[in-house]
Amino acid sequence: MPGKENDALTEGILACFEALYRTAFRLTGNKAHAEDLVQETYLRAWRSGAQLHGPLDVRPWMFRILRTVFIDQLRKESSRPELVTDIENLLAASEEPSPPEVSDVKARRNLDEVFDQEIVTAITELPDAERLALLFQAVGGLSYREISEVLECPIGTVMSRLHRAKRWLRHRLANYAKHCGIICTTSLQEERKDAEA
Amino acid sequence: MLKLSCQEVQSLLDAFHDNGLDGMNSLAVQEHLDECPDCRRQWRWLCEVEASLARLYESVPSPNQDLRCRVQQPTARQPVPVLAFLRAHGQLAGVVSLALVLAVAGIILLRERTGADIMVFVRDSAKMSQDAASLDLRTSDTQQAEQWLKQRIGFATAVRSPSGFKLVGARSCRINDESVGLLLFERDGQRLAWYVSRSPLTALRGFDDTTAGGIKLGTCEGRQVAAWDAGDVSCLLVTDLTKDALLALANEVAHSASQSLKE
Repeated sequence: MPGKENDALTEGILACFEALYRTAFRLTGNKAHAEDLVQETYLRAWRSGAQLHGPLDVRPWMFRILRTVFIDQLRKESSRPELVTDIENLLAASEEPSPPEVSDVKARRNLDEVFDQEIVTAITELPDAERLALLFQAVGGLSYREISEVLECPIGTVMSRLHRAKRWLRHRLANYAKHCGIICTTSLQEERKDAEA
Repeated sequence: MLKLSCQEVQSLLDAFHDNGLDGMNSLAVQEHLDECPDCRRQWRWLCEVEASLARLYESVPSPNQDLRCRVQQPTARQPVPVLAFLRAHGQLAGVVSLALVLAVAGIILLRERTGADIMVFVRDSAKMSQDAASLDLRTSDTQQAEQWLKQRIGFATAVRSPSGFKLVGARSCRINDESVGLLLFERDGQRLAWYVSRSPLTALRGFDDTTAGGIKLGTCEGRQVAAWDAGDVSCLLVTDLTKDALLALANEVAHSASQSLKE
């Protein structure tokens, strides 16, 4: 590989550090585990750097290694109970609730704090396929195409996984917000009246 | 203008948020949201959740300071340029490695074939002088020894006992992968080893002098060595006599051998 191209690849690999670490943290929920995951990811990346064809491939390639290392670690932790959330069944079982009206939020700051805590918990309940797609997009900043390369599936599958995951999150967070009294629900009929007026 | 139902719009809201819709669909969703409070409420809630998702990135605690160094370490130990080149050109590296191995093997073989010196014969003769029992043939009959050598190694020089020396016996062996015949002579407790070979013994390393008659002389481990080529046979004498005495013996043996060839 020519020297300049090699330098560009090295630079590209190192530029992924922040996104990889933050994604690893959200995947593991633990700083020490996230650091181990990132270190192992880089170790494997440096070992097999010759497989790369160009700087454009770097980000999905690095996230693919991260995903492989993460799955390997999950397999090693055989005692870890597998959490299975059947999103479709959950969504189908209850009628789609009317989402809260954001303008009714009592305290914006309160909502954000509670939401940020609750959304982390909610994400851990997602199946691995949906969770990985969601975190690669929301934290890793990957595009649909890059996620499809990382997860080795068609873009359409990525879009449907993201749609399912986010729909479930919205559903779950809406119920949570109402339950905690963060949001005063306004009926849709009232809103319609206001709109007509 | 494209008109979308509420169900269609709500299924497209994620892609609309991610700017994943084409122009026509994007416009249709936007127009629907402007008109439909149900879908607008869905949209606002979606944006709320998306904002929370976006904060997932920011709210991660910083890694330990040394992590960045740990992941960078291998780059500080970049392979030397030659190794990097060989890694990048795997096939070429294979060819180069094979060529190197062959070259080294060739050098070793060449050294074994041409690198032998007179020391090998000096040590062999010393061993034979100390233990004549290891001779294959014990005889004082030079003609018998000549015939025996012909049978054992396929050739022989005309065997004549040098002045005052008496034949003790003969032996065949392989030295430097060549068939070599040995005739051992004795005179007043002094031993003379006479080697004959098809390969040119004058090509051995260790000779330091050559006479006008083409006899090469050398000294090794306190013994004198003389060698010369006679037709397709080469001869080498080893003894603990003086250099001059050996040269005289070598001239005598070489002369008698050439006389035999003429006869």
